[in-house]
Amino acid sequence: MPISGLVIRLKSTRSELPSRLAEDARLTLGDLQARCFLPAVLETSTLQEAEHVVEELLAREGILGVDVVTVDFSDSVYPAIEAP
Amino acid sequence: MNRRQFLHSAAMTAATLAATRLAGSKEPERSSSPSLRVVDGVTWDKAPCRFCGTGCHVQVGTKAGRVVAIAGDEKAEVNKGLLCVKGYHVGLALYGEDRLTQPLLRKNGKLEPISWEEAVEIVAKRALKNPQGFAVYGSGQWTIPEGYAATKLVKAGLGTNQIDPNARLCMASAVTGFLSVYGVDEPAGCYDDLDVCDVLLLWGNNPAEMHPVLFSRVLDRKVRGERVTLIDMGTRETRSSALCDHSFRMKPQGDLAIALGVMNLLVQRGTYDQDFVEKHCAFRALGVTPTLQGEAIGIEDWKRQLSEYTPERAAALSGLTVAELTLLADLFGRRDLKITSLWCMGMNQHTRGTAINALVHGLHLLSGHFGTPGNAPTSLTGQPSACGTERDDGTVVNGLPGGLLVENDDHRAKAEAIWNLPPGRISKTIGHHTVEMWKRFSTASDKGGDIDTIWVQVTNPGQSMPNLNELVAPSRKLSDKFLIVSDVYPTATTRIADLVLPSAMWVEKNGMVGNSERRTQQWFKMVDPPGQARDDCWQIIAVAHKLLELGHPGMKDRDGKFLFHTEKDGKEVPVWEWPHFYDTNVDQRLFDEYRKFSTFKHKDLAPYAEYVKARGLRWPVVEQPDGTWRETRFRFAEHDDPYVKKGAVYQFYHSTSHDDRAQIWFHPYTAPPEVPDQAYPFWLCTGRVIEHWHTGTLTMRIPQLHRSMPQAYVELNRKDARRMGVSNGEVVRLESRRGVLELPAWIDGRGSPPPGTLFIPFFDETLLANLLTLEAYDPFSKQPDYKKCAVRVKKMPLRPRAR
Repeated sequence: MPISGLVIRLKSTRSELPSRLAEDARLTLGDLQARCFLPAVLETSTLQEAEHVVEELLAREGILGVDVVTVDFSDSVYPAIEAP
Repeated sequence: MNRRQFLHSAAMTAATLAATRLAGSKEPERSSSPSLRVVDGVTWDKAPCRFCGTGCHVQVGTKAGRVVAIAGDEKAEVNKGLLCVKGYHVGLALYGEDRLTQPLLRKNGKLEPISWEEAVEIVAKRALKNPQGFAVYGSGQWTIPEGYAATKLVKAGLGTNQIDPNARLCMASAVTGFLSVYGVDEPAGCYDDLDVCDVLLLWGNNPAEMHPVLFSRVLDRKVRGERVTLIDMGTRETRSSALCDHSFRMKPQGDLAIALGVMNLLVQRGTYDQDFVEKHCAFRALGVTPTLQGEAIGIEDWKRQLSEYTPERAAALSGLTVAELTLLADLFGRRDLKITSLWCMGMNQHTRGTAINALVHGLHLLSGHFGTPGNAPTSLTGQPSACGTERDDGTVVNGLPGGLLVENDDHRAKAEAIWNLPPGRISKTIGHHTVEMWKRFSTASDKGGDIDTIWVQVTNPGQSMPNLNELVAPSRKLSDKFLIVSDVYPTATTRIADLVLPSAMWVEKNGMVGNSERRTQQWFKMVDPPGQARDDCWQIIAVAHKLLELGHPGMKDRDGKFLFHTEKDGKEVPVWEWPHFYDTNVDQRLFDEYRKFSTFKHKDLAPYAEYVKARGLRWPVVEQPDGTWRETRFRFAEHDDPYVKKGAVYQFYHSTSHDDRAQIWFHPYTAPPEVPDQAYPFWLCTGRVIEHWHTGTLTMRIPQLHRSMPQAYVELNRKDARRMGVSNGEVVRLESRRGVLELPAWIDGRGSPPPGTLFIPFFDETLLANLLTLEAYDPFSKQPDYKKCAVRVKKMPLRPRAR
């Protein structure tokens, strides 16, 4: 269950977007900073799902960018290391 | 609180801190406390990111001997807690399925396991047999101590100068640009300029993909409502273009004409900074016999030569319109604006790389946009230690540590004194630079191919060298040529090697690197490397000691001690034996010695312990009366640089004219060495993408990045595609005078080249872009041009093999 810390950059300082984003159960939103930098935590089942969510966020109207500031992948399954 | 709640809370804290900093743009407080902490069973420590030259710091979480989490380091001034897509996946670069874990020797055409003892002896015996023919080919991914050890092995030990780095392929022209203008290498400004500039000019640069954290730093200012104008000048439309206020399309090599045309406009209009020029600048041109230092000329002679570049002629040569050139001249003519220029491979991988670097510096000097925060001409590097290791360690054929030169008698004497060598040990004969080294390796020994062994560390020339069919492939058919490769994964180079040595990487070892803004960074080993993989530094020291055992006289100093003699508590530590390598901090031992070189060119480094505390320090780092160490943000400027005389305002204290002045050059425009013609009608440009780092050996093994960008492609203009009947994803065959490559077309994709122009990324080892490229290089920097050559395109019926 990867957990990522995000900063979502909003295009407009008067955006209604935070309330719409809050409807996604995978996202926990923090306090908006300077009306355009929105901290958030993303919890997903897989890293792949986390990537898709970030891509979806980037494609949404009103979002200028998404920075991923932490990624915990300790629960992910690592590939085994094998000799060549 | 359970573990999951804790992780959730920690992620929210980090995100909120990052958002707060972005909102307020506050500099994070510099850490002076130990970085190590243990939370919920995860041990966290600091390290610079493994990838590009930006120098972001990450927090690395380890548990049970593995890296389990990555976070942006909120205390890092460079990235302020943020990372790019590569950075936050950097931990996974350690855990690809196919790590190299034991030495391998080619026997009967097949790589077979051997012991480290055998491997070290094979390398040493190749060096002993023919030291002059034994070359080391290194990397801007070497840590500072690794590069220093390699330099010492070759220059102090073997007594040759056959060592050159892959940085020759990426920033050598930036070096010769700095040397020809200021007399000393590396940028005067720093990333702080990005926080205050009014205008940011991108010269053939795509930081949205190549240096995304730095580009975000500027975009965030726009988000906060600050006024900053971004101008993109490039040969194709990129992700950066889309985010800029102005995006100008130039012709290949057009950058020379832009710089010349804008400077001429400033002169003709009288809007250049006459006061700055009169007090701080001199003028130069190549003269009859071109040299890097050139010949002094007067300002009137300089103006006369420049006057040929009228706006109309500059427009015709560059591809910009007269209005676009005039806009640039308007901006540079204003003293109230702060202007920063950024460039990277577009200006460096250029057969006139030295010239265009010097001209852009000259444009800033001429207009007085220099030396105050926000006014800076700044080159970026692509590797984590192209600056710290290659440029400062002297891992180049003509260099010694600290910016010293092998041809200079005084410089060699200084190095021999620090290394305690008998006088005359260091050779004054310059070795073969990268292209020449590989050309000679690929030439039969009886036909002038005097390099018979190359030891490659931390780089992948089998993919990254230009014109691979000419420079690399022939050597594999010559029986007396021997290729040794130290690396962490199988690569295009290990696959053709005679001997493969498995290396430790990143936080599997101690390290120090130096980023694009002169910032020296340090980290400690956090996890063990897999299997028998070992530090590159250990490999170098082990080979040196084996040479000592085999009787090579160069491996002793003049007191008879081993070149890498290391003591702890008054007793020698046998660091050449792997079980003892970490009995002491070898990095610190080597750095303490290397640091003595740093003062000769005012690149002063602090003691090792200062870097342990900090998230990097920008040199020169000078001790203060209270015993603290102060870094320097703006070189040559009295307001910040401790080496500038009081009252001088600016002082270029390594001036090539010996009068504390910087040099404003005249370099004429010339056409590229290969241009499209009837037979090969397209321009080809090669480069990088955001998901993959250089030849992709690390990022292609990170599943998230591999999935995002699984294979190379060719960007094709829609009009060209329509004319040839090519649709998105269809395979085309590209052919240059040097090679052939088939790959899928991408139309209106991430980048958008103009008609007649193609772009290929070079990260994919199954679709080698460098089968096509040209090895022609700049006469001073010897850096090849990967950005311009001529190809033809043909639609193919079949798709390439899926990866």
